[in-house]
Amino acid sequence: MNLGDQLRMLVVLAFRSLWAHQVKSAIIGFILVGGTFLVVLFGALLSSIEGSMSRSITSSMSGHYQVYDANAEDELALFPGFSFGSVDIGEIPDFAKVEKSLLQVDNVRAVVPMGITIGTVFGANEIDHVLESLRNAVRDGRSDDVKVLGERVRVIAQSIYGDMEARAAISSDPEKVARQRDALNLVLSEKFWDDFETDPLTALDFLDANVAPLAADGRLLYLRMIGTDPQQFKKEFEGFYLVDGEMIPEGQRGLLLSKRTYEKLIKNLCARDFDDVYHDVKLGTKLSEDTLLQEKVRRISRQYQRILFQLTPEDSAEVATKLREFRKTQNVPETEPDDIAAMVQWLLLVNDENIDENYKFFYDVIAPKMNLYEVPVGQEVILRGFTQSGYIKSVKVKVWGTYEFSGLESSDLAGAANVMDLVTWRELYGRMSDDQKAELDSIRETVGVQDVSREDAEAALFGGGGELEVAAVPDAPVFDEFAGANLKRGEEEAALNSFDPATLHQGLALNAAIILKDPSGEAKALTDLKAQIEKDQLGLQVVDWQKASGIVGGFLMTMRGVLYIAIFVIFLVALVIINNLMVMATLERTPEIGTMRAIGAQRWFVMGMFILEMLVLGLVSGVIGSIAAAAVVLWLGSTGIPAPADIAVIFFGGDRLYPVISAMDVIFGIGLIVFVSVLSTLYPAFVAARVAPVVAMQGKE
Amino acid sequence: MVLFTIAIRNLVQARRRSALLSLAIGLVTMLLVLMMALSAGINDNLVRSATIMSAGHINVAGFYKPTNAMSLAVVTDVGELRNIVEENTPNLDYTIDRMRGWGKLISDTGTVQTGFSGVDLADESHFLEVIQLAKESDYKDGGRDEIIGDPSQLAGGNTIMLFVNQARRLGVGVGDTLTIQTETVGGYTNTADVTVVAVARDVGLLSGFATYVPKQVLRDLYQLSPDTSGAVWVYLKDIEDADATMKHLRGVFEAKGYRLMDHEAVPFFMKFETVQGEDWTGQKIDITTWKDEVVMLTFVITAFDTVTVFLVSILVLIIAVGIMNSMWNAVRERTREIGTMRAIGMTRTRVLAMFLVEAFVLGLFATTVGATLGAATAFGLNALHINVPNDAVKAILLSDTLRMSVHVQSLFIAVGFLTLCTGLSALWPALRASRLSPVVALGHTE
Amino acid sequence: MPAIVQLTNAVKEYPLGKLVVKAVRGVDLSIERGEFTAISGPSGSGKTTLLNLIGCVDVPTSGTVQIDGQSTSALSDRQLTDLRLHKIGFIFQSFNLINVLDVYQNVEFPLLLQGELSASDRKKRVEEMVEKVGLTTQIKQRPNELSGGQRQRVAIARALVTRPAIVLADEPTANLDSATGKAIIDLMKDLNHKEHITFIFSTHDANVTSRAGRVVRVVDGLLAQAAEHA
Ligand SMILES: Nc1ncnc2c1ncn2[C@@H]1O[C@H](COP(=O)(O)OP(=O)(O)OP(=O)(O)O)[C@@H](O)[C@H]1O
Ligand SMILES: [Mg+2]
Repeated sequence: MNLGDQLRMLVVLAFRSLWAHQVKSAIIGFILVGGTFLVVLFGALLSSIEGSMSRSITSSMSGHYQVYDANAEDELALFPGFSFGSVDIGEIPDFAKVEKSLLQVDNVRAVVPMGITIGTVFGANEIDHVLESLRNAVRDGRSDDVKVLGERVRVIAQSIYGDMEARAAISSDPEKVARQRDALNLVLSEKFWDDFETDPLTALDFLDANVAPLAADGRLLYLRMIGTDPQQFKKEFEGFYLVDGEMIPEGQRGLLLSKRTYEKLIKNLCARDFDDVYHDVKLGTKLSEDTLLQEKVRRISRQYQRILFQLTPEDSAEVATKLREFRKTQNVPETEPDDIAAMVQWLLLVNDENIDENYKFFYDVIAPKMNLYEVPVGQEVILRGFTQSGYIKSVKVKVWGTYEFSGLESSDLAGAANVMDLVTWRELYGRMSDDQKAELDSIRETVGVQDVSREDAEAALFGGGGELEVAAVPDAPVFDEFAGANLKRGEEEAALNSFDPATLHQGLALNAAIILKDPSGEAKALTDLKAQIEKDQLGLQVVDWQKASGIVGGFLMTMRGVLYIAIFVIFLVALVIINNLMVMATLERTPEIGTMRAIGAQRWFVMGMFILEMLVLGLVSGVIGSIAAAAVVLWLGSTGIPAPADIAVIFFGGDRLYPVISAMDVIFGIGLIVFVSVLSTLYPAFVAARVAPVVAMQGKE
Repeated sequence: MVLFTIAIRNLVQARRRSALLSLAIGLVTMLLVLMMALSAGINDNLVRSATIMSAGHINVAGFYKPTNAMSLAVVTDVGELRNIVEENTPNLDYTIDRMRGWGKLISDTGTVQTGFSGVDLADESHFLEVIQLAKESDYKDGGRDEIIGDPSQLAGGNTIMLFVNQARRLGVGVGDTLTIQTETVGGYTNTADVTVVAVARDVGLLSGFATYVPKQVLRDLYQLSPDTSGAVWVYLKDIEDADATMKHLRGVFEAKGYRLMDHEAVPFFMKFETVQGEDWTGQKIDITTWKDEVVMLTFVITAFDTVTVFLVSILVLIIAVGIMNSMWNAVRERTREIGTMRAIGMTRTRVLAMFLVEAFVLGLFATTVGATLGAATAFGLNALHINVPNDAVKAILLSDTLRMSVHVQSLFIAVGFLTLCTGLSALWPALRASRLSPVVALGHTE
Repeated sequence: MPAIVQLTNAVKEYPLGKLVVKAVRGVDLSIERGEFTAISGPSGSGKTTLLNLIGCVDVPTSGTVQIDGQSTSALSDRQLTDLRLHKIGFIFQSFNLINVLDVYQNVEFPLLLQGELSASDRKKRVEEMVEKVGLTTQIKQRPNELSGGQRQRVAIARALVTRPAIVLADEPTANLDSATGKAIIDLMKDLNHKEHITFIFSTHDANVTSRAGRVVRVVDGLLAQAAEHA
């Protein structure tokens, strides 16, 4: 009946007691404020990370949800994890059906078909470029060019011949080396070039088969390929934007490389490392102080050949002249060697003083004359893929441009994804539409003849049995090579390079992104999606962006787990300590409690008094701690936290995290702290309630 | 010693307070011990997987450039290299040499990308000891609950040993045939058919990328001559010597006229590109330690230790506050007693010592109990062989099972450090107690 | 009408290690409503223990305690507390005021615990009581701002504010100088007269004993004589 008044009295007692025992309150308050501060700060940081990550990932690759085969052996991982490529997430054989069905769900705006597979690309060899040019020159009948290019082939062959000793030293097959030597001898002979004039195609094939592999110096690049509907991809993922080149036109085959891959993997090593060093120095690293960076600079300088090899003799001469002049402006003594190799090495061996000028010179004078990128924008590239059962598939596809996801520009993980049209992707993955299969069969018949003539190339040249190895791929099934690389050199090229855009949404996909109209209705959408899948028996599972992002999402969950465990442990210890302090405080107040009990206070009143006291203390500390944490978060929110590592770029949804604090973080923090305070005072309150009223009579004090 | 007796009596007197404080200190000690054990466990996992799968304690490897623009991770004349190592390495345990390859492993139902380690069983007596085979049921649904297969068949022929994760993915078991497909620079694809002779238990993350074949299989695939190999793996009696011995060996090889690559702390497969662009042909030797070869995994340990330090500092702070407060109370309660003792003729230093000894005794007791419990928990957890469900956690622990590794040394560190913290937190109250003037103290009523 | 306090063969023993201390060893005592009783005796004789039994803050080892005709032996802690709250007022040797509350709040405290009066009634009752003990001007002060005598007056006000049947006081004047002590006894006696409240207090001050309506002497846990008089 007068409960309100009693409660008021309890509150008054609580405040007054807290004030009366200032030291104790301050100590416990300090622990509680610290606890709230940590919980709120780290909670806010993590939620901010989750928020930015969700924003950047949903708007780049995952969409709000991803669906894939319910019986998949592995989990979908949009970002590469620790295993290379071969994840098996099952298939969506008939995407059109899935799309039609899922679009019936209220909140679904779009269903974007996707598939991820690994394609390998051989970085271009110098010899490949030369032979390709030579072939074109022969085809177009440019005899002057044929001469010049033929001469370059001979120079290359000469240099390979010089390396045959080293090759022989490690080879298990001296006969093979001998045969290679013979082939080179042949190419270096006058007779070969005489024959070349009469039957250039056969000679070119011989060069392709015997010299090109010997001169191979290209790299094998593993590229992560996302097959999708490029137009839809661009439209639905706000984070997607084009950097170089142009968008893949509708209904055209094509590939968009990620800018990150383009700059960090495909670019000439020399230029790429030079970029890195320049970048570091611009960020304030002093070359003179950083031995690791110095080491890197020395390594770049040793890579000078990567530049020289790319320069034609004329370009070389021009660069040498300009370098000589440039060196003068840099006060390099005339006595230094002035051959181009030495000068390029000098150019690359930068220090804090000359890095700006040297970098500028490199990009102004040398870079325009090089193939800076092994797979340049605007050119076609041969991609090879492995089907699940290990067959090799090759496709030739044009690199239309490069793209980035906004916010994730500097992330290697996000930058690993290259986008291509799903039609080409299906071929790479080893799946073709029925139409294509039929078309391919008919084409195969027509080229079969030419294939044979290719195998007979040596016979024609040597007039004897084919002893030399031609088949570069001993056991692997090779038919797809025709489907991809060789065929499209013909007239069918144009026809094969375009397709009916509708086919993108028909047939195979591996997974699909679900884009919602209203992201706030996520929870309902999820149940609706599940119901729809169930209803139409699509056999799919739905995962959110976090799960779909693979190991990255896993890391986030682990971080949350570690945070919660840490908080738990901290609070456990704090609990014990606070409990301890409170028990001592209780013992001190025994006479007071005894008096109250004697004059008629029930046990619950005494208990309530203690609990309320801690409740108040917890609340006050919680508020103070939250304010402190909010202040720090606001400060961090204005300056931003730089991402310390690559994976952090994804977490932060950019190079810097600008954390924000939400009411939820604060409520959670204060709630937790109040809970802990009350919990920690249960035992002391119990002890207090057990104080016998007699103690009031025991005199003293 | 009388101070000691007084301390213990006082602690027993304030039983409840001592017990609660001990509980807190003990908890933190236990936690510290567990965290250190986990960190050491991760480190052990790393060392173990690294030195079984990717490196010796020291590697004498290198690159061979048949042409200016080509680089192979092989060394020639491997016999001579091993001789040099064996003659010039102090505290050497043994050496082996391994071929290295990278490619696809193909079965009827699946493909994995993996590394291939070429072994010569005749030469590697230790290999069969380290490898633990898995039960068939571990990788085959409905498989027998026993170990089948015989790794000693790796001695020759077209054989291969897989790890459980690969066998699962490929859907194969002992006796099945697989195709190895390697790609060489320039687009060659070479293949070889091999028979699975054994399946080993996974050894952490790295076992996703390792398989074992006889050396000859790799030599054939890469068409390399018999005196070539991938790397000489040098095992020392004490892995701690790795850095020093690596420097020593570099000197040795340099003196013998070998061309050496500059030391760079990255795994060999990240060096291909650099080497390829350099202007030399023939052989260069590269000497690295095991850490260099798994450098991308060490961040886990750094991250973990950072969390440990952070967490423990916060906890120590909380505990220090608790101890300080409780010592304050003790001082206040015993003000009269202190006054009496001072009046009788006890020096300030002895009063100070009395309180400090009390704190130290409490700290030592609590930390010892905590450390013992921590160690026991660690052993208990180890014995349970807890399987880690989450991939990310697996990546962090570098293993599929939770592994704690308790070093006696770390127990002493935990006990010593936290006892010291306890003692130091009592310093201020103890100083105050020693400063009390006997007159004031005696006049204190309470 | 039954006696307000009725002790029958009350025994209180304290275990002290292996020994058993018999603080009260079989006391029969009956106190009537409106009596002004002093319990006297040497130190350690069992006065406080006897008061504890009467005040229901402690229960006898054997024997019974009846308050206002009601036996206490079967009561739970909650019921005993309720009994104390409604029937008994306490005045302690060392005042035992709640230091964090001011005079008004200290006096109001038992009324709040009772929770039976409305706020305005409570205010009236408290102010009346404070006036009776003559502390109206100090009503907003905290106990540590009062003298010992004033504190004991607050304690008396607090004990009486619930209009209890009995007020117990364990050596209410022991911590006061004799003049103040006398004033406190006067106040108690005055209240006893005017409001017919039963007072039971212990003391070993002969001056105080002499002013009692009845003196109960305790020696070694037993009643020496029950001197009826004046
Ligand atoms: N809680 C207890 N435990 C053990 N013995 C007790 C306890 N309380 C009182 N006693 C013992 O009981 C006996 C009576 O004590 P009591 O406090 O009732 O005496 P008293 O007459 O009030 O003395 P004083 O005049 O000194 O206040 C004493 O011998 C005392 O030692
Ligand atoms: Mg007494």
